[in-house]
Amino acid sequence: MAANSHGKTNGSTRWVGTRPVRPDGVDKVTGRARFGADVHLPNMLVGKVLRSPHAHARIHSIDTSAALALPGVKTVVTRDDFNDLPSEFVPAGEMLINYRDVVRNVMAREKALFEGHPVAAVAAVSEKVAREALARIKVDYEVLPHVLDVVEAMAPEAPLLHEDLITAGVEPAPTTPSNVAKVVEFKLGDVEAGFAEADIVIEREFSTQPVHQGYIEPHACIANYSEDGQAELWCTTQGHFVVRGHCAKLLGMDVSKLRVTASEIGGGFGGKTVVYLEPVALMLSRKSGQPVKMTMSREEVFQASGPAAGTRVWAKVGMTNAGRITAGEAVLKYQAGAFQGSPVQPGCMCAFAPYDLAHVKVVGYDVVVNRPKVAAYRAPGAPQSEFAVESIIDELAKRIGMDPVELRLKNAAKEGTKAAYGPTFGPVGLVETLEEAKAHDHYRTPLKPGQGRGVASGFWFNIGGETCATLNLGEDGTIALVAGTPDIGGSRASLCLQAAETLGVDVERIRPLIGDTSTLGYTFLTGGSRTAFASGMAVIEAARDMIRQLCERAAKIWDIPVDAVEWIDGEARPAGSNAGEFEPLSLADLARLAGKSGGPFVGRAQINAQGAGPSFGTHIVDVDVDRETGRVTIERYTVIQDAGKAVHPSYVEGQLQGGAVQGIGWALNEEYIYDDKGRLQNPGFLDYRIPVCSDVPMIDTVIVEVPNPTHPYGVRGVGETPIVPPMAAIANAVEGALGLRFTDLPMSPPRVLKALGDARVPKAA
Amino acid sequence: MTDYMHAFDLYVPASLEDAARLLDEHGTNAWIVAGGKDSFDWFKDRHRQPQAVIDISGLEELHGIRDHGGHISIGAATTLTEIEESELLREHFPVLTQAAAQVASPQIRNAGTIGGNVSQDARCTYYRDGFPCYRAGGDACYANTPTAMNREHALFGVSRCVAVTPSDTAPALVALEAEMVISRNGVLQTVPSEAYFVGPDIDITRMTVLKEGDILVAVHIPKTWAGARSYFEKIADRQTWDFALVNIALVAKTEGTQVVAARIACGGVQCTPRRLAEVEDLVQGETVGPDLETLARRVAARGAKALNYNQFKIPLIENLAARAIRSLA
Repeated sequence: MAANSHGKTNGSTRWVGTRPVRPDGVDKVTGRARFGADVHLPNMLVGKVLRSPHAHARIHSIDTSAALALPGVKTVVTRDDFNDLPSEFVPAGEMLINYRDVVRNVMAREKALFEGHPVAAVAAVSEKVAREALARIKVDYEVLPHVLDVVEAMAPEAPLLHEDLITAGVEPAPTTPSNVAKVVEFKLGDVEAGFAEADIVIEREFSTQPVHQGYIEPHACIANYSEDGQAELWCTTQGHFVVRGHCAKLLGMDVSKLRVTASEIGGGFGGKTVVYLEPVALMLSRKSGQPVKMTMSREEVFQASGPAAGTRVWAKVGMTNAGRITAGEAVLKYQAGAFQGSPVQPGCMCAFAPYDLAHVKVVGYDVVVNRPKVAAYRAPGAPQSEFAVESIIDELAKRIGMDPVELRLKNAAKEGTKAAYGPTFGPVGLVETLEEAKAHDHYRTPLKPGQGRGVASGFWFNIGGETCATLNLGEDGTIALVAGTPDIGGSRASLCLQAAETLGVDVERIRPLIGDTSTLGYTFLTGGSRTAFASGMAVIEAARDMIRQLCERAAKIWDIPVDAVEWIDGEARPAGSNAGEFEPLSLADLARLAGKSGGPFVGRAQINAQGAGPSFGTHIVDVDVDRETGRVTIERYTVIQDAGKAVHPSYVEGQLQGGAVQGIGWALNEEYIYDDKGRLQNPGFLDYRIPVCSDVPMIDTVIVEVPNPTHPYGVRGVGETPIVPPMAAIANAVEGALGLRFTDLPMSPPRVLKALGDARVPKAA
Repeated sequence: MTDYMHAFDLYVPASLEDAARLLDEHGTNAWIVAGGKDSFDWFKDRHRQPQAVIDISGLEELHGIRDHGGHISIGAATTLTEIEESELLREHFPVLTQAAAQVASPQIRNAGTIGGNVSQDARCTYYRDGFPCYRAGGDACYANTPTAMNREHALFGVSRCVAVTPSDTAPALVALEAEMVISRNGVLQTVPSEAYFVGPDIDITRMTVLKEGDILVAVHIPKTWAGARSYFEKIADRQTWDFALVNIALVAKTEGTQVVAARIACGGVQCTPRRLAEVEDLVQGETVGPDLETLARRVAARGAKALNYNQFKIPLIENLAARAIRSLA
C-alpha cells in the first residue's frame, strides 16, 4: 500500500475547510429531530421528583404510603432503593466525580443539601397524578443552618455539609471535618524571587457568580427496564457511554445489560455530562415494570442541575517597568456545590497559562456549599481564574503606558514554554492571535466618546481520550459513519468532512449517525473540546482501515500484490506501470463488487486519542457605558482564536461566537439570586438573564490556524477557549470607559450605578 | 415556574355582554385572559388556579385604534405590536408607541395586549412564589426584611407592600392623561389613568381599580398632548425581554427652549406609576439647560426611601429625569 493512502496532509485539502450544509440541519429546522423528551413508548408512565424545599436539612423519615395509595401511582423511589456506594473518583469530562456523592446527588440520603435536592420520585399514569402523589409524600425534615458563600463556608464556625469531610491535599491531614474538600497547589520556580525582580506588583481580589450553562433543552429521559434485567435508556446527554457507566454503577447492573441511546441534544455546554434523572427513571421502571419518562421543568434545571462554580480569587502579578512579567501568584476558592469536585484544579492550571513565566504559584480550594453540585461548563474553572489574571495584566499595562496587546506579546506563551501545571507547549497560537488582534481593523478603529476598549486572552488545554468509530460501506458506494460522541456543535458535519478527505470521496456520500452504546466500543463523552479532534482521529483511522481493505480487494481482483495498489482520489489504482494496466476501481465499483469478491467493507477504529492541541484565543471588545443609567452596551466584539485547522469553518465561528455571548452574559447580567433561606429566587430565563440576540452585536471572528502536529489535518479543539476571555475583556473595556475597575461580576446596571456612586462619594468628601 | 397548568374550562364569549354574563356566573372562579402573558405565568406557577377562564381576545369591540376627533381610542385587546406600529399613535403620541416597543420581546408584544400590560400583577418574587404576604392576603412582607432581596422594589409609597408597577405603557398613559374605559355591571365607566392604578394604601390585594366582574374595554387618550415633545426610556438589566428597573415617560409643550407645560411619570419605583410632580412644577416656564437639569435631578427622587438593595434606583430616577429634560433642548 502506497503512502498516499493516508490521505493528504500537506495543507491542500479538498473537503476539510469547506462549509457544506450540516447533515442534521433539515431535521432540526423542520422539527423532525428527536430530542430528549420526544420519545414515547406504549404503557409509558410519567416520573416526577419531589425536591427539598430547604437548603440544608436532615431527613429523619420519608412516608410514601399516602402517595402509593393514590390510584394511578405505580411506584415510589427514595434513598432506600439505592445502595450506598463507597468513595470512588471517576472522570467526568475534565472534572472528577465520586460515586459516593453521585448516588447522594441523585437521591438525598442523610441530608438534603440544597434547595431542589431530590428526596423521592414517583411514577404514575399521568403528570397530574404524579404531581398529586408528590404532594402526599411526607418528609420529616430537621432544618439546619445553611451556607452559600464560599468564604463563609471555609470559616471554622460554618455549618458543616458533610460531617466526615476531611480536607485532602494538606499535610498533616486535619483531624476535624470542614467544608474544604481539597487543597491543590501548582508551583513553578520561586515566586518570592520573582516578585523581588518586579518594579510593579498588583494584587487584587475578584469574585464571580455561579452561572448556569443555560442549554435550551431541559434534561429528559425515558427508561425501559425489562423483567430479565435488561434495560434501555434514551436521554439527552453529551456522553451516553458515561451515562451507561454511572447508571449501571448506581443500579448494580452489568453495563452490557444497559443500552443507552443519546437523543439529539439541545445544548449542553458541559452540563449534560452527569446524571440526574436517568438512574431514577431506571429505578422507577425497574420497580413498576413499565417504561418511565422524566423531564425537568426549567425551574428544576436551575435549582438542581449544575452551574459553573461561583468563586473568590485573589491574584498577584509582578512586572518590570519594561513590561516583563516576573511572577504570578493566585489563591482560588471555588464553590463545588453540595458535593466536592469543583473545577478548581483546571482553574489553577489555566490561571497563568497564557504567559511564559519563570515563577508561578497557584493554590486552589474546593469548597462545598448549600447549592446544586457544580457541573462542567465550557472550559470549567478557567474563566474565573483567568478573569482575575487578565484584569491585572490590563492594569499593569495601563500603569506603564504600554499597549495591552504589546504587553501580552512580550510575555506570551509559545512553543517551548513550560506551563506551571507541567507540560512544555508544542506549537501553540497565542502569539499569532495577538498579532492578528494588533493588525485587526477593530483594534485600529478609534473609539467614540464614552466608550472603552478591552482586550484579554484565554487558554484551554483540551483533551483527547477513548474513542471509537465505524464506517460501513453500502452496496451503492455510500457510507454510514457511526460515531459515539453526541453532536452538540456540528461535529457530524466535521467528522464526515474528515472521512471524505481521507477516503477521497464526496462528503455527500457519507451519512453520519451517533451510535448507541451497544453499536460501538466505549467512547468518552463530548466534552473537553475533544470531538472534532478525537472522534475525527478515530474516523480518519477507520477510513484508513477501509482504504486498506479496499486496496487489498483491488489487488485480489487484479491479481497483483497489495503493495502495487494505491488509493488516490477515491479510487484504487495500480501503483505505476510496473503494477500492470488496469482501469481504476472506484469506491462505488468496489462496493458493487463486494459480495462477489470477498464480502463487505467495514472500517473501524478504536483509539485513545493523545496529543490534543492546547488552544489560545484573544478577544477585543468595545463597550459603551452610560454613566447615568449604569447600562453597559457591547458595541463591537471580535474573537480571534487558533483552531489548528478549521474543519468546518462555520461551526468553528459558531463556537467562537457562542462562547463570547455566554461570556457577555457572565460578565454583565447572569447571577443566582437566593433568599435568606437559601431558596433560589430567579429559576427561569426571564429573571436569570442570559443575553438574547438583541443584547449583542454580530460577533466578528478570525480563525488562526497553527496546526496541531498530532492530528492528520492539524485540528485543535475550539469549543471551550472562547468563553475564557470575555469577562476580563469586558471589565477591561469598562475600566477604559469609566476609569473604574470592576472586580466583582456581574457588571449589571444596579452594580455599575452603585460603583459610580461609591466612586463619587470620596471625591465630594 | 413549572411547565404544567391546572385543568380549567375555557370560555370564548362572542360579545362583551356574554363575557360580562360569564364573569357574573362564575364569580371568584372566573379569570379574564386576553394575550395570556401574565395569566399563564400565574397558572403555571400554580398560585392561581381559576376554574373558568374567559378569553376576551376575540371580541371585536375590544380591538382597534380609532381617531374620534377629541381623543384616540385603543381597544383593550389591541396588541402591543399593533400599538408600536400604529401610524396614528406615532403621529400623536410617540411616547406611547415608544413605550409599547420596549415591552418584553417581539414575540410577547405580538400576543400581549395593552389591557394586559396595564393590568398585570406585581412582579415581586416573594409574592409570585406564593409566600403568604400582605398582597396575597397574609400578614407579612417578605421583600422588606433585613436580608431580603429587594433590588427591584419600591422607593416610594410603601404601605406594608414594596412591590412596584411593572408596566412600561402605564407611565406613558399617565403622562398623556389617558382615561380607562371599564365595563362594570353592564355599564361603561371612565376612570382617569392615575386613578386606575391603586397603591397598597388603598387596596393591597390589587394593582388597579378592576374588581371582580369588571372588564377593561378601552383606553382613551385625549389630544391634550398630541404632537407634544416626548421622551421615553426604560432601564433594565437586559436590553430585551426584561422588566424595567426604572422607566420614565415625559410629554411637554415647549416654545423654543422654554417649557410651557410638562407631565412626567416613572415606573418601577412605586406600586403605581409615579408622577414627578415636583419636576413638572419646577420646569414649567423655565428654559431647558444644564441648570434646569441639575434642579430636576435634585427634586426627582425627593422623598425616596431606599430598601437594602435598591439604592441604585435613586440616582437612576434622578438621572432619567435630567435626561428627559435634556431631550427638550
